Amino acid sequence: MADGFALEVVTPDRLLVDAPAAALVLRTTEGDMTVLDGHTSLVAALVPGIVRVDPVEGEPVRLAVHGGFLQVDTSPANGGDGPAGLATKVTLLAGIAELADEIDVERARRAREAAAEHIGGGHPDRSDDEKLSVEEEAAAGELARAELRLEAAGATPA
Amino acid sequence: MAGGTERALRRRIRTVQSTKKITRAFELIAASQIVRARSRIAANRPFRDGMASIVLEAAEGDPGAEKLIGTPEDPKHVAVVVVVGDRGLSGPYNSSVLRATEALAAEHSRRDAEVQLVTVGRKAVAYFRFRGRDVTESFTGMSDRPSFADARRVAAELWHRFDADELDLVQLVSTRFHSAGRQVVECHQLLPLPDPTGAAEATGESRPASEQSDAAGRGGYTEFEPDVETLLAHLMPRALETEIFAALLEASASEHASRQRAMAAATENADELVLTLTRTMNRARQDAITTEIMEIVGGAEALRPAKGA
Repeated sequence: MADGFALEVVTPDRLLVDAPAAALVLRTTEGDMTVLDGHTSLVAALVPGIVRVDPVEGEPVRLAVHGGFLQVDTSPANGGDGPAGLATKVTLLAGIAELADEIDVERARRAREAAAEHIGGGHPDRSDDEKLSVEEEAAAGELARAELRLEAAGATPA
Repeated sequence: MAGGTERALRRRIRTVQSTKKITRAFELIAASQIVRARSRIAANRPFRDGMASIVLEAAEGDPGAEKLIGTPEDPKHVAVVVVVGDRGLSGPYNSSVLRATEALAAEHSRRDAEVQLVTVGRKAVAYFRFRGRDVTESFTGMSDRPSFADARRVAAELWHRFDADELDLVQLVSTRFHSAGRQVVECHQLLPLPDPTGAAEATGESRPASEQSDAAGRGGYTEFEPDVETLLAHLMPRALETEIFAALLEASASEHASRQRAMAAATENADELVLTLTRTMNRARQDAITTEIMEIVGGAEALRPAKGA
């Protein structure tokens, strides 16, 4: 059991993490949870948040994950095809995700300000309200992402 | 007169040579793009496989997913997504996809189904607009270097319509990148998701059996968070995005491969043309020289008796 489980954190562009892990801490739509070796088969939806990976070797890694899905696969069918032939295979899929170390804090700050301004600067009396709401929604998403990035990078959200 | 031909040919050769430089440049650019596009496909593969695996598991867990999974018997409202390039000069790449689309659309029309066209790539809009066909939605500017956000935009539009029951079937016509030398135009079902259990002709009767055997293979029990219906509702649009993104990446790689081949052929043709033209030009010049010599000799010959006398 000390071997941990095979973990992959995947985005459409790259494999962010591919290493045996001892624990994975994340937040699903139902609440916070930790995945350890021997977890039952599970498919879960994640809400945007910070994910912590405790690898078997080395320091814990933090990631900003902007929503995604988690799969814990314990079937013998996966053949233990993890790097160390581990029985449990955990896959985290995210449309957007970053390693905390790779987050550009300055850029996230600027993005947060721009997005905040965009929401604040909207004209509530404009008649074309559908267009506005779509834009504002995009800006709100941008704001949330920027804040999550800053949080993950350890920069205090002002 | 003869000198005129020579000059015209010389100009022609210069033109061909400068065209050759352009095609060679295109070829080199395309070649470098293929490498990048291929590495992006490779980088996307784990995500794609992971998504497929999650969808399969969720679909097995939800017996009420008929609307989302399987192939409808007689779809009345069909959307066909066409993925081509924004630019030409890529050999048969664009036209072969468009031809396949026409065939597919014709097939649906024969069944009296309404066909909506959703196009990706400038060449597709141009093609259908020119023929006076309605294009429901068109996206451009994503063929060269598709991003996941591009795929999201396309997917959001399709999902919106599908979820509102405006569409029974969404199909995708695009080019799949098998290898640098082989790209194939394929038609692919996007929505509802093709039955992932792999049983191609899975009907109502045979499905529970296959589900059972699969469930047994997985240890029988999988937890879902939130419950499986909600999860599947979250999962479907993401799975669609993933499929479309993968298709865009492959289409982009195929386009570059096709362009490289077309441009390599054009460069070769230019070489041949220069060779032929050079020969023709040399002959023309030689003819001109021969004619001149004949004239001089003729003139000298005419003068000789006078001198000799």
